Amino acid sequence: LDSHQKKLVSLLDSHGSSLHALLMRITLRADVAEELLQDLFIRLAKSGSFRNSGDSVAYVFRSAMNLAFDWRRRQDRSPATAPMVSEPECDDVLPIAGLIQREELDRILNALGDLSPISRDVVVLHYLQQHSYADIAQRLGKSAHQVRGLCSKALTRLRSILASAEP
Amino acid sequence: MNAPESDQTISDLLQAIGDIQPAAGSTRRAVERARAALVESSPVPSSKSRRPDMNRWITVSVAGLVVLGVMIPFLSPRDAGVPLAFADVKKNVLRTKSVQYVLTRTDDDGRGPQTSQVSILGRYLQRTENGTDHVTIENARTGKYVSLDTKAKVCTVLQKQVTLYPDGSRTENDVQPLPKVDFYAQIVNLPDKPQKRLPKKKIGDKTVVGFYFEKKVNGDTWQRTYWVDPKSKLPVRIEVNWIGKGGGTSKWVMSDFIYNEIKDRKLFSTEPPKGYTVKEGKIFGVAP
Repeated sequence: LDSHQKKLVSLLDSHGSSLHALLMRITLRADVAEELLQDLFIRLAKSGSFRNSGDSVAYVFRSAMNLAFDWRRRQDRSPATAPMVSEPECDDVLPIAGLIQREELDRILNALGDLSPISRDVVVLHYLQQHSYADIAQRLGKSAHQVRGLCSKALTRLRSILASAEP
Repeated sequence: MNAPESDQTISDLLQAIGDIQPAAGSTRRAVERARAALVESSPVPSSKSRRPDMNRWITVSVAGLVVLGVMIPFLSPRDAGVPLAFADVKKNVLRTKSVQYVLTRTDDDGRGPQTSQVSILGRYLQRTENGTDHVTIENARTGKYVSLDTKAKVCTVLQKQVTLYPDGSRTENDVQPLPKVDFYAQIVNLPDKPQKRLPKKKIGDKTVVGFYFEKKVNGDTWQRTYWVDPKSKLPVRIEVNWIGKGGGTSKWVMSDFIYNEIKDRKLFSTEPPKGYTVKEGKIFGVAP
């Protein structure tokens, strides 16, 4: 392994679980999250901008988010045609899939993908990855107060997107 | 299709998504695949072409679940003496797909209690059966509201909302979609910590714990008691008392709860049933 591959393997060891969880939360599919984690690292292995990135961890997580939201965009957004659970051979059925309406989660995640990158990142970091406002602020180079404001605006925007998508 | 109507609902749903955890085996498999792909610099076949491995993994998982099932009574916080948190009850309620309950309302006007059977699906469709021949169906998202007289076969579509003001004036607007139906809206608006925890008691064959909330609104007092089954973390009885500033009282009791059992979405259709005479109606309300 060259040094670049070693760096990626090290990132995979330290953040693979969190990345996989993030991918599953955005796709709501265990099998897709598995595929995307592999795709992510293959892309990173070939990526020149990753090699030159200052904060490789932030870069990896942002790439994972982009990959997962790209996957969502490629899907038919009609929840009626989306599978309600994971592939039959995959045992990792979402624990709450049978409890919370899947379509509702799909709608909100699709709407999340329509937010501006900064709004989407803040919401994903705070809610899906459960980081505090202070942590996110540090990561984004903003104050916690600004991050809280961004998050609040993002929720309002999400509501507006969901309302405009109403039949 | 259900859609969140408020920032709070959206926040709740996002938090629910954030609570999703992949199975440990799934993560391990995903990381191994990614590592192999990195090392070999070529994609590793997907899990679909590795069914024998998956079957073995599922077998191991099932065995693990059996072991976990045996261990849970020894590990669960309930048995470790940790009291049930109302925040967990809220979370569990919001995860339900449907709920049915009997609503009994008693006012101090001497008319005696009025009983309805309420069914809610997807947190925005509500069907209320009053007596044997009167049904109301409400779609809180679209604002569609119909009232059915099943005996006379009359469907009244309620499209206008009339608000009467103390000065005698009135406004008339299209029925606006409500944020959420009451059962869910009430619990969302309650704080995570009750004013009082009530001692255990028996309701039917269940031992329940109580959470008591009291709130003053415009001089009126609202008292809410949620009796919750600690095993399911879901309410089995809810008592709401209203004490008006003028001394009037009303009491609502929700009981006989059934969760996640509604299968037939057609019960919530706001389209007039075949053979029914259709009329237009209005909802009247009085402004405070």
